[in-house]
Amino acid sequence: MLLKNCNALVFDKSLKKYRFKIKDILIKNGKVAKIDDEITGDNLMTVIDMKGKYVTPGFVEPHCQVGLNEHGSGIMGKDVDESSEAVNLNCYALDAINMLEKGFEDFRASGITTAGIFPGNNNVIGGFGTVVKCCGSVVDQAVVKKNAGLKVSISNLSKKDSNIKNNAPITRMGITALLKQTIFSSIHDGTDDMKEVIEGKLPIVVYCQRHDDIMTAIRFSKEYNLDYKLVGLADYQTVKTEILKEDKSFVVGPIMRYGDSEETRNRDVYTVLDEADMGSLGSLTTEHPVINGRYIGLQGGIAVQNGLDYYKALECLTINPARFLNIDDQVGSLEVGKDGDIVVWSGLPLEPLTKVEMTFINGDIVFDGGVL
Amino acid sequence: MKAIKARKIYTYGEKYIENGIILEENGKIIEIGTDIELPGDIEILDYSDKVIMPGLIDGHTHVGVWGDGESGGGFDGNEMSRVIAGDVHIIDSINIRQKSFQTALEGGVTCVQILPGSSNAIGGTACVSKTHGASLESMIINKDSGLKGATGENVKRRHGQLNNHGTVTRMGVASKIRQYFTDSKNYMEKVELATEKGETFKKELLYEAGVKVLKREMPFRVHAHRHDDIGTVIRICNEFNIDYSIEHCTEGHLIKELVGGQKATVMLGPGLTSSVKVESANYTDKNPKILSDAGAKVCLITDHPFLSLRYFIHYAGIVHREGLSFDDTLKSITINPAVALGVSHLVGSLEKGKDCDLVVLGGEPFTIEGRIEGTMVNGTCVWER
Repeated sequence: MLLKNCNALVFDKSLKKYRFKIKDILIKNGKVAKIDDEITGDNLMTVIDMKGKYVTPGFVEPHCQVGLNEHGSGIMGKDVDESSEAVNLNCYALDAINMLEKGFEDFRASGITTAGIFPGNNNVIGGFGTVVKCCGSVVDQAVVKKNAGLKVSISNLSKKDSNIKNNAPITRMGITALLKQTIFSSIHDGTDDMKEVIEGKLPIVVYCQRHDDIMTAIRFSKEYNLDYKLVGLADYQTVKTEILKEDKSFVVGPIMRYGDSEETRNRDVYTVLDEADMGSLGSLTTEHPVINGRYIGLQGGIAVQNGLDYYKALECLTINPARFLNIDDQVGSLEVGKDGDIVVWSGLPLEPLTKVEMTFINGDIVFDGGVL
Repeated sequence: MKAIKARKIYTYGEKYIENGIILEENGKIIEIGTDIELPGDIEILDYSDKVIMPGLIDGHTHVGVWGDGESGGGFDGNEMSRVIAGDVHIIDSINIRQKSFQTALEGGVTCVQILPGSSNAIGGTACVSKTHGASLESMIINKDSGLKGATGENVKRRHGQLNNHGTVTRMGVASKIRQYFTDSKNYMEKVELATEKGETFKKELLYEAGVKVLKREMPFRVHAHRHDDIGTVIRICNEFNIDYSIEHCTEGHLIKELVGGQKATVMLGPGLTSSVKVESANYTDKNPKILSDAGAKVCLITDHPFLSLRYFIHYAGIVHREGLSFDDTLKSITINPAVALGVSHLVGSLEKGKDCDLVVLGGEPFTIEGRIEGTMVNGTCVWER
C-alpha cells in the first residue's frame, strides 16, 4: 500500500526533532518499507492520496486498563484488582483482556494502536502487565510484549482493599514491608518471571502519586537493584529533580482528571510539564478508563495549552511511551522497518476539533471514518 | 466604571462584534458596541489581541459540596439516611472556601447550579450561584432553582442493595417518587383548606419543596441515564403536570422523538469521562447534536467534580466536533443554561443591563490557541492565567 502526499510526522535529523513534512509512505507486509519525497507505485498497489491530511505514527497508551475494566458492564466486567490478596504474583493481565470490549474500538477511532495494559492500583502487587496491538479478537495474536513488567502500587489505594478486611498493609511502612518480604521469598522460590524481576531484567511498574511514595518507590527499587518505572506522579513538581536524576522512563497522568482524592490533589495541570521535564523519557496517559482513551489527543492539546511544546506533546504520545514499554524498536515513530501503525488526521493533531479519519495497524485499515 | 476592549466579543451564541468595547459599572454592562465614547479618565482593560465570550454556565454541578481532593468529611451532597430527602436544601452544605470554586474560575465558569447528589429518589432543593463572591448569600442568584430527583442505578444501589429502603427495583424507585408528590399534593390541599378557613396547621418541611414543584414555582430536576428511566421521568412529570429537566439524559439519542417532542430541557454530560456504569453504556458525544435536532433544549454539564469545570469548554469543543453547530454549542454553555436555571435576565449573554460576567480567550473557542486567559465576575477580574 502506498500513502501519497502525507503531511507526515518524521524525524528531522538536522533539528534532531520531529516535524511535519510532505512525504510518501510505502507499507509492505505490515511494515513501513520506505518514506520518501516521491515514491512511484506499481499497478498492483493500493494507492491512497493523503493530500491535506496530517499523518502520525499510531499513539501508544502506556498504562491503561482497556479490556480489563469493561465498558458499561459494572462489577461483572471489572477484572482490574484481584484484591483477594495484597500480593498477586501469579496474576497476569493477559488472562483477563477482552479484545472485543468497546474500549478497543474507541482506541482505534482515536488513533491509539498499541496499549500497555496493567492490573489496577488497589493491591501492593497487582500482577504482570502486557502490551497488545488494539485490534483482533484473540489476545494471544494481539500481543506485542507478553510480559511488560510487574505492577506495584505504593499509594492510599493499595491500602484500601486491605483496610476493609483488616489485613496487611494498613500503613505505608506495611506496604514496603510486604514488598521487601516478596523479594526475599522470591529469591528462594520465585517463579521464572519473578526471578527476572529480581535480576533487573523485567521492570516493576510502580503506581505512586504522593512525593513520599515516589521516593519510597525509588529507594526500594535501588536497594534491591530492580529496574523500575514510575506512573501517576501527581507530586511530580515536588520531586522532579529526584525523578529526572534516575534517567528512567515515567508516565504522568491523566492530567485531565481532577485531583479527586487526597493524594492526587496536586495533579495540577498548570505546573506539570515542560519540554525539558518530559525529554525522551516522559509519557502522558489517560489511564483509560479513568479518562476514556477516546480523549488522548484532546489531553495532549490541553498539555500544549498549559505550556508543553507541541511536538514534545506528540512525542509523549508516541515514541516516549514506546520507550516506556521497551518496544521503541517496533512502534512509536514513522520509520522504515517499524510496524505500519499509522493515523490519518483531518487537521493538526491534538487540536480539539481535529478528527481521526483513518487508523492502520500492521498496515491494515482498522478504522475508517469515511475517507475511503 | 471601566471599559473592556477586545478584538472580538461573542455576545449571544455565535453573534459577535469586532473590535468591541464593553462599558461596565457596578458589576453591570451599561453599554456594549463599537462606537462608544469613553470618559477621559476611565480605566481601560485592553484585550485587543484576544477574544471575549460570556461567562460559562454549568447547570449541573456539586461545587462546594463534594470531597474534591480534600480530606474526608467533605462529602455533603447526599443525605443518604432516607430515600426521600425533600426537606434538605443544598445551600446548607456549600463550602465557598473549597477549591472547586477556584477551579470553576480557571475554567471560565462564572455561574453554576449546585445540586444534591443522585443517591436519593428525592435529593433536596438546588440553588444557582456565582462562582466568586464574599459570602454565599451574595453569590446566590436563584435560591430555590429546582428539586433534585434520581432514577436508576444509584438509588437502587444505595437504598435497595445497601439499605433496604424499598427501592430494590426501578418500579420501586418510581413508586417512591410518585408517593412523594401524592403526599405533597395532599399536604398542599390541606394547607389551602386550612388557610381558607383561617385555621392553624403544622408545617411539614418534607413537603414544602414538593408543593413548590407542584405549583410550578421550581422544576423537578431528575437524574436519568437509561432510555427507560428517561421515559419514567417524563411519564411521572406529566402525571403531576410539573416542569422538569432531565439530568444526564445519556440514552436520550435512543428515544429522540419522545424527548424532542416534549421540548424537554436536557442537561447533557458529563463528557470526557468513561462509561464504566451499566446505565451510561450508550454514552455518545453525538447526543447533544441528535437531541438538539429533535427539538430538545440542550445544555452541557460537567457534573463537577466528575468532570472538572476546568475542562467544561473542552467538552463543548468535542460536542461541536461531533456535529452540534458552533452557535448551538456556544448557547449550550451560556444562554441555554441561563434560561433553564431561571437566571437569563442576569447572565448568559453580553448585553446591556446584564451582569458583567465574561471569559477572555487567547483565540477562537475550541482551539488550542483559544485557551482561557482570564475570568471576570460582576465586572471584577477574579482569575488571570
